[in-house]
Parts: sequence; structure tokens; C-alpha cells
Amino acid sequence: MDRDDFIRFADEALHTFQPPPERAYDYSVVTTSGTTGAALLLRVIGHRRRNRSAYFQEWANGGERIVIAYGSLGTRLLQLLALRTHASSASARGIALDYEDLTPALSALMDDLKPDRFVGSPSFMVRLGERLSGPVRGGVESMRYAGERISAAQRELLQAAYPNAALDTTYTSIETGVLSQSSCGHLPPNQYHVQKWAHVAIEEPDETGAGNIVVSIPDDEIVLIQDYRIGDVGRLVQKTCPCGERQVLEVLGRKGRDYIKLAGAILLDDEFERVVRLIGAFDDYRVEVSDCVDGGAYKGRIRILAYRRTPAGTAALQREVQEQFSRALYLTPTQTLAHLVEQNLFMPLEITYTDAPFPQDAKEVKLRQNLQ
Amino acid sequence: MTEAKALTPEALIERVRSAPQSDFYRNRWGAAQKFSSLPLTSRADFARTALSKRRYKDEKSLVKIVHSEHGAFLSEWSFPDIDREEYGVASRRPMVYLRDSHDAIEKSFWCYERGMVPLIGEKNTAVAMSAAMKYGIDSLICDLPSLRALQPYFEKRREKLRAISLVGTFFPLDEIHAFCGFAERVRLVLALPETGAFAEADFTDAPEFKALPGCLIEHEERLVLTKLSLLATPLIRYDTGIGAKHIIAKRGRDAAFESS
Repeated sequence: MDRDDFIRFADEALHTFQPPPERAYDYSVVTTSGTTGAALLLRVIGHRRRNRSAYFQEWANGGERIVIAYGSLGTRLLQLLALRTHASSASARGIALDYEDLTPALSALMDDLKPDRFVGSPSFMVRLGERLSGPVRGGVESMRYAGERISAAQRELLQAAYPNAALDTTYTSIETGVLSQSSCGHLPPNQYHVQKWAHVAIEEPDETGAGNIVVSIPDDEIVLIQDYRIGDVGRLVQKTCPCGERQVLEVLGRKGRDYIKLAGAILLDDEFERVVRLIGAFDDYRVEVSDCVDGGAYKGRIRILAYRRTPAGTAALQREVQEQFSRALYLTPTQTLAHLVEQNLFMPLEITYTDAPFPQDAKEVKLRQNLQ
Repeated sequence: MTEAKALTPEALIERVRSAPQSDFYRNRWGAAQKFSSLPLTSRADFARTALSKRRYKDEKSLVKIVHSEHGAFLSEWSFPDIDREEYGVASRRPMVYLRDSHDAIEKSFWCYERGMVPLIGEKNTAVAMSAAMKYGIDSLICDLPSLRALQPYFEKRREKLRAISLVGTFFPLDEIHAFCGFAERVRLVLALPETGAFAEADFTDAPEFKALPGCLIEHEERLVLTKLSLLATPLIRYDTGIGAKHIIAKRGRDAAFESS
């Protein structure tokens, strides 16, 4: 079952969707925002089934003053529904922020509101943190992330910015709802224990066990979800966690965005970020990967466009940076780009410099594949 | 719908004056006793007073940011209070499409409180129109810029919407007239983000606004509003900043208010 199938089933479900007025709060209508260019999915979500209800119960426990920080209006509304219908406190209040609210004026408003709980996407939270005062950030007790993978850099930034907040990452999608259990505290970022009522498998695993994540949720109220290819790649690891769970789902990223397989290697957005921070030679960057035929051999190719506020330095210095990067960047669990270049599997790394900063948008995509 | 707890102006004043939660109005009013002698409040007063200093009740609620000419300020609405508003009409599949995201969320909750599952329009107009088509909307709550943006969608529809509820403070009649063929009814709803709706009129060549239940409108140089219920921040002799003559744009036409 792929996305087009899902859209077809979701559209069919819309025809018969007619809840009685007293059950209006049991449903949400959400849509993809269109930023990824994928076909529009309009999804009616029923909240009474155990997956949604359990999520709402969990979400709503604790928290008096809750900030919602997502790009999608439908997602903001859905989160506030949880507050309306499930928050245990009779005086709980919620505010759904928009990117347009991220102005200097926001600081005083949040000083007044004194939020204690944040729910949102990591990228929004990072930008939000830049607008909040120290006391407000210090007063946040819990933060729940969903909607995108959280990078190591984002996690570090958020832990520093919100020093007293318990961090909880959630693996979720519009199609399936929340798939992960609440953080047990023992797993690194982007690793989860799967909810008991969802079945997750890995399709076409490669030698590292990584492959398409497929999800089945037999009792979804609106759409029967059976072996749905969710669009992410990941691994299922059988290991006993200190919390007692025996299986971990590691989400490597959105296929074609956070994670690209190329010429037998795995190019991870996180790995590029790690090396960029390690070498410290750029202020920002974008990576384009592609394949090519060079001297009759099929090879992978990596080009980095690097932004620096200051001049890039001499040609010799730039070569040195290139070589350092190539030696530090792992493209397989044991081999770096330098190794793969020696083996004629990859072209030498190319880095060009620009003094124009990259436009910042809500969904920064640093790693892209050029398929042409 | 939550039953309205309509208070008399005197009862409202007494409750607010003696409220332990806030002294916002008590300080403003001083010794003034009669309703008509109470000094006006305005956006500027809200903007310079933190919400926590002008909150009169603690209920589960939605908080909005109002971006105004006096600066940004917070406006809080309990869910029962949202229910008492008159933003839209009863329908099966309402859509809420407003440029201000906070208002869009609030109007969506109004739909929920009235037993309707709304489609909230995403900012991307193409996405909003595609979603409207898929959901098969039958009514719309929107503002003027959003109404304009949806024109291509309206032109593709085969059936009229049950109603378009146009929320705002300025209604250019000639322009709105162009949309009347797309709905059985077009309502003009006078509202500000911090006041909610306070008057409505059906679209005609000469719309006559009627104060909504629980709303007392004084026609000074500008419209002065009192809502006769205890809101999170009560609205008592609130200067809306709206001149009655400036609500409607049509040559030689002023806004008409039904005599109360």
C-alpha cells in the first residue's frame, strides 16, 4: 500500500463521513501542507480508537499553559483538540503559534503566559527558542517533538535552550497517527519503541538492515492501513532496552531527503552535519548528490555548496578542507568517502563557496539528490 | 450550544468591579458608577496590560495573539465563550479560511462547539482550494482577502454554498456583490480578534447591521461595545476604533444599524 493507495482510500472514506453533532470532537480533518510537493492527502482522523485516544490522554496529562508550534494549521488544531477534550486541568490554556508570530514582541507575550509545555516540530522549537527569555525557557517542563527527524545539533540546541524540559520525541504521520510510545529515556534521538497496536516491518532491508518502513494498523477507524509504505526508511533492531521493551525502530529519515542511498553507500543528513560541525569550516551548507559515469565506471558524486561569512581562504586551504571532510565523512558503517574514492566508487568531493546566505525556510532540506 | 448567561450591564459591572482576579477595570473606573459614565477602554489599553493582569476567570481556553497597531497582545477565549459567538451558520462541512492563523483556529473551534467538523484552510491557497474541493465544503467562514483568493475555487463549483460568513470590519459592497452568486446567503459579520463577533447583516444593496445577542453597541464617534457576559477579559465600553460610517464602502452609503 503506497501513498496513492492511501489517498484513494482516504478519499473514499470522505464520501460517507457524516458524524452526529455530539461526536464532532471525535474527528479531525487534516491535510498535508503541500510544502513537499506530494499529492494532497485529506485525512479524516477518528480519535476514539485506542491509538488516537491513548495519544491524547498521554499528551494532555500535566501542563497548564501549552504552546503548539507546527507549520500546519490542521496539526495545530488537532493538538489543541487534545487540550480541549482531554486536558485534566480545568484551567489549561493553549496557544498555537505561527511563524509570523516569531517577532521580538513574542518575548513579552510569553513572559506573560509562562508556558510549561511545548509540542511541535524541532525546527520550529529551535527558532522559537531564539525569541524567548531565559526565565520562560527555564520554566518549560516538557517538550514533545514530532513531524520531522531531530538532528543531533537541534537536540543539543534545545537541551541547552530549555534546560529543565523533559524531551520526548514522537514518531508520527498524518496517515498513521502516533506510532511510537512515549520516550522511555534510554533511547537516542530518532529511535523509538513502537506502540502495541501498530505493526511495523522493514521492506527490502539492505545489508545493514535498513529499508522502507511499512506500517499496519488493523483497527484504524477510517482507513484500513495494511502494509503502508510510510515514506521513511529505517531499521528494526531486536535488543532489550533497559525499559524492558525488546525492539527498537530506528528511523533513518525521509527517503530522498534525510537519507539517500547511492552507489552502494548510505548518505545521512546527520552525518554531513556532524562532519560540518567537526571541521568547522562553513557557516551553512547544502549538499547535492548524484550519480555519474566516469571513465566507464558508475560512481556516486557529492557536491557541497558552502556558505561562509568570511572568505574561503587560499586554494591550498580549500583543498585541505576538502580532504579533511572526505576522510571524516562515513558513507558506510566502516568506510569514509575517502575510502570509496580510492575504490573508484565515488568521485572526489567537490566544495564550492558562496558568500550569500541560504534562504531559511520551515523545512530546511540540506541534502538533495539530483536525479538528472 | 452553551446557554448564554446574559447579564444586565449593572450586574456585569458589579461582578467585574468586585472580582478578586483582576483590578484592571476597577482601577480604570475609579469612582465612576453609572454604566454611561465608565471610561472607555481600547486596544491600546489591552496592548499595554498583560493578559495575566486583565484575566477575570480561569477556564480551559484558547489564547490568541492579536497583532495590532498598538503592538501585539494576548486575547484569551474559553471554549464555552467561543461557542456563544455567531461566526457562521449550521452546515455539514464548514470550511474556515482566514489570513490570521489565530482567528482561523478560534473559528474552527466554534464549528466544533456547534457540532460540526471543520476543514481549516492551510495558508497555501492551492492546497486550501484542493482540500475544499475534496472535503465538499458547504459553508465558509472567511475574511475578505481569503474570499478573494478562493475565487478560482468558487468558479469551479457546481452548487452554491449554503452560506459565506465574511468576518471583518470593512465590507466593500461592490466587490462582495461579485461573490453573491456562489452562495445562497452572504453574511457580513462585524468582529475584531479581541472582541469576537458583535453585529451581523445579510448582504443586500443596503445591509442593516443588527447587534448580536448579548452585545450592546453604543454609536459614539466610533462603535463602543459591551458584551454582557463575563469573558476572560470582559469587554465593557470597549472602543472598537471602528467608525460606523467606515464599515461599508459604497458611494454615498453609510453603515446602517438596526434600532435597538
